[in-house]
Amino acid sequence: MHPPGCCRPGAPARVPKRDRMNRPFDPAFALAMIPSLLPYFAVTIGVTAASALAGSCIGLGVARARLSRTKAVRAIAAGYTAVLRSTPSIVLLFLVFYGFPAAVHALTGINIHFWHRAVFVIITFTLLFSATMSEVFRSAWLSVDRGQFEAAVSAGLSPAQAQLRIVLPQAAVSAIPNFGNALISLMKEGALAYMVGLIDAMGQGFLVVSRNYGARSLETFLALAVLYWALTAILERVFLLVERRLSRGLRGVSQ
Amino acid sequence: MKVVLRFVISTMLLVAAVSTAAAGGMRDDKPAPAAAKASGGPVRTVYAAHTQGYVPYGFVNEKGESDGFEIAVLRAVDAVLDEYAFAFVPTSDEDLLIGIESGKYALGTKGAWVTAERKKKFLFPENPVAASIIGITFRASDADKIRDLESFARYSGKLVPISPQSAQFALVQEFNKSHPDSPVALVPSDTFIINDAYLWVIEGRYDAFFDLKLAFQNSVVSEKGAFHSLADRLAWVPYKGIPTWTLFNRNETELAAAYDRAIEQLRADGTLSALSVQYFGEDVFSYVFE
Repeated sequence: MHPPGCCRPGAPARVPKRDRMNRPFDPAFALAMIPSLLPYFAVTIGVTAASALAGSCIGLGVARARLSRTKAVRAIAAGYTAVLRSTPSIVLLFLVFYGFPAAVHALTGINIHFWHRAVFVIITFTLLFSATMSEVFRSAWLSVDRGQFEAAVSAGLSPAQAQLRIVLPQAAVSAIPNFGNALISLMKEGALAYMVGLIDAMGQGFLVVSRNYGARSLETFLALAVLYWALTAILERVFLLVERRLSRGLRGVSQ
Repeated sequence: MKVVLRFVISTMLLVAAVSTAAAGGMRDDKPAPAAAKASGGPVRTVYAAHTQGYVPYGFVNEKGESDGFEIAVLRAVDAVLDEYAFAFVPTSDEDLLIGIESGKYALGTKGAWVTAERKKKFLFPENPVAASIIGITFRASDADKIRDLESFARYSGKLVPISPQSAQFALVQEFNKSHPDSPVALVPSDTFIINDAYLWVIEGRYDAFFDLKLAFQNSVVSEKGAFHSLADRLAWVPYKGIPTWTLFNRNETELAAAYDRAIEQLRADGTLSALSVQYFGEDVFSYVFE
């Protein structure tokens, strides 16, 4: 019953120096992993982009509602933000993945269990991102002095024109860095999607580890870290350029 | 302000429409059912969940396909049963267990052992799907003190944590009940698969790892194994050969009965043994039926 090579009694207690690093580690394996993980970043990026787009739209609506003149609307919007911001992403992910199809089935009899897992992940991160974004947009909106709007209106613009052409461009400048931060953490939090079985970059990493019987985890996670780092660097760069472009009017004054 | 509001509302509607369309289009979880059956009678498609990374029982291979011994057995069962078509869904351990219980999946495999708790939640067929041989991996330098699970429990009992959802946990609990004087220190872990368990044993963090023979052979003994460099410093002794079962939703009595019929036929014609040799290099059923 014993496999060959096992159960050898009395192995040396002293460890040769070259073996002091117990963990078998092969940097070349990490490097070789990168091309096989890369395609799965399309899933990571797709989930992030979809959640960011939908989350921003809802966030804009919630931000608007929080600035509403009606008390009830303000309260509902504040409640939405408070509840979602205090829910850990993994908890919400499980609630959406297990609870949402059950609720839909109970209410309508429609079976959505076998919708693509990405849909549930996108719903989860849309909800989370919208809560963060509502605060980003609200603070950006408030950062623009009321006088800007009043000056625009008195110069002959309609209130809507004043909001779109005067207030919005200025609000966007202050929203961009926060939006960039939130987007980067959204992308990284997306790695949790593996917990419900979505095969994104992280999920593929876990599968590689499994196919190696639980080994090569250090190399795999190192490759993932490098790829996430590169993706974050690209996003940072893009947001820097966007911020510069949007704030070009501000720079002009001092020159 | 109205323009902004209109813009926001129309964007939200657009996003809702796009995501609904995307949701409708993206359903890769729903693989095409097996080709039309010969009998021409009504065929019921049933969803069979399996683990994504439990090599070689059930996993997703490099091509992204469902692979593994238990899946090969289920495919053979599917071929025998005219009235059913199996659709395989790779998923997480947690979703598999919750999903079979709730009826999302009719059946599923995860190298599952039978426990009293699982018998309450799932329907077990008469026949196991495979077997796994469990034992402990420990430092070869302790080979004079550790000869089996009992002597390990007396030595220190410091075992690498096991997920409470795993049947291995119940098995060690059972051992502890029958050995109240020298129990194994059973610590619940938060995950099913602990990647660094061998290193934890080598480093002395724990003194043994409850380990399948197959995993030890493939990762440590095999020259291709990732932990082969530790082969001289690790040893393994068996504890038990344990049958693994396909889990069925409690309402699937007819399906489970049909499954049993098919398994008995496949065992009699030698298909099961041949598949076992293909995936495990030995006939694991010899440990179950001897």
